[in-house]
Amino acid sequence: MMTRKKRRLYMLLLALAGLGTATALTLTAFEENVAFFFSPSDLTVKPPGDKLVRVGGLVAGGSVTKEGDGVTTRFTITDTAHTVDVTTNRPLPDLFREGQGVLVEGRLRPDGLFVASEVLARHDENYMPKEVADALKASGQFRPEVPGKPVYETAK
Amino acid sequence: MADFFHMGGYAIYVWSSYGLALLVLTGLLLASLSGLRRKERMLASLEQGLPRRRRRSGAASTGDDAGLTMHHGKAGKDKGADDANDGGDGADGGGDGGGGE
Amino acid sequence: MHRFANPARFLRLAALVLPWVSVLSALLFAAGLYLALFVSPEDYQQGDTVRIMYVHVPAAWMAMFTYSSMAVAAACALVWRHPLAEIYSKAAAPLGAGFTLLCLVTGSLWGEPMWGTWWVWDARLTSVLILFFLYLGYMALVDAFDDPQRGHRAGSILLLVGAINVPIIKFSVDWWNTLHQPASVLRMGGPAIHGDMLWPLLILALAFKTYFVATVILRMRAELAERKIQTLRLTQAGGV
Repeated sequence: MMTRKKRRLYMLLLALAGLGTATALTLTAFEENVAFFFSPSDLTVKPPGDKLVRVGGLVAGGSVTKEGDGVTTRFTITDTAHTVDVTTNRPLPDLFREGQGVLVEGRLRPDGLFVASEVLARHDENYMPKEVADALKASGQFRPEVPGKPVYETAK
Repeated sequence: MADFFHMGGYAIYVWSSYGLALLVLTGLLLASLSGLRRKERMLASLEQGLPRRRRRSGAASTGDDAGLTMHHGKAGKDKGADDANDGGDGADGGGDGGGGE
Repeated sequence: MHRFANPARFLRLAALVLPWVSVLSALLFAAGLYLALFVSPEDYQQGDTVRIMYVHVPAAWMAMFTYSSMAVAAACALVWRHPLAEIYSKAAAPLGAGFTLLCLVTGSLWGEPMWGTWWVWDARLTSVLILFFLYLGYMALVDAFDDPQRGHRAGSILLLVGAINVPIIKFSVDWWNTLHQPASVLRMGGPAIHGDMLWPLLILALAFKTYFVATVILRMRAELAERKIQTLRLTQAGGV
């Protein structure tokens, strides 16, 4: 009786270990596809060509400008190592501001300007009342977090 | 107060979230409660049927608590008589507790 | 009939626990909602939409907790044939599905104003959607067999296979670039949420948990009653 239960337990553990390994291998192999966006550094390592891609980073301070037509916005996305200049005529989410994490979807033009067909805001894991954030900013301890991480190894 | 309902302009998003939570949680609770009631009623009526056919006089005297009668009748045949008995009592007591909510 | 011993003890314990856990849940909901809606401050970035978190995050935690507990129960059912394990999983599944749906929809309602989209196919959102389908699949599978025992066996196997999705949900935000931000509470270095927002969140999380305990007890009792009904019908049909 005892041995039958033990055998069932071992079979179950073995099956689960196999399943886990298979899943881990599959997900590692397709990491590039699982990544929802790339960093500006990734674009320099592996240029996307004419493909539709998403790029994520922080909106660089002082980089946001509205064009004369009132629709087009230009800004720069940075991951602190590399930057991408972006232009879009899409509406911007409420969270969009300088120093904010954003994701843009679109195509990189040969001249290096990224034409975004969609702009999404991404917020980091920090939640606090306004007064606390202001105090942190005043003391210089406020650091916006760069969204995500480079998918491709950067050559060093 | 108007500020409170306004939610800084995000009223639709905030209040629909809370409304949906209320809907899902109470919905599941009520469905679970009514399911339990229905099955306990069905069980009681089934148990009422059995002992009457078997021993007409005994069941008639405790007709209004047929569920318990059945447990006793069943337990009499079982090896774990005490446990089955307590189980029956426990279920009935719990039913009252749930109704008090 | 030794199988009745454990359910009987469960019913006794459940009858003892149910009133307390119900009252506790009601109190926690009252306190948590009061703190969440009236006392807690607006977020410096997200303003009042941060209040969606107090529903969204407990629902997400419960969605994962419920599934994990069902997977553990499935292992107990397959290895030790514990009679209550299958009853627990069957009773918990609709609740888990409800939590997951709540998590998905409130997430959508939060994403639209803040991110600028109702939905994206990033690793976190997609894996939670898969969790929802696992719940639905389990419920359909258990009912799909004429022989309830075989239905439960198949359901338990599905639960265990699907358990691989739980760590994927949890760590998706760390392993891959996602639109969804990384964890704020259960993370290295302690919570990244200010105390005034953390307390209502934790209280409402406990409220959800106690709600689940109370409701799953009701559902398990219903399932036990259903089994007794089946047994009685069989004996009656057998012409006892």
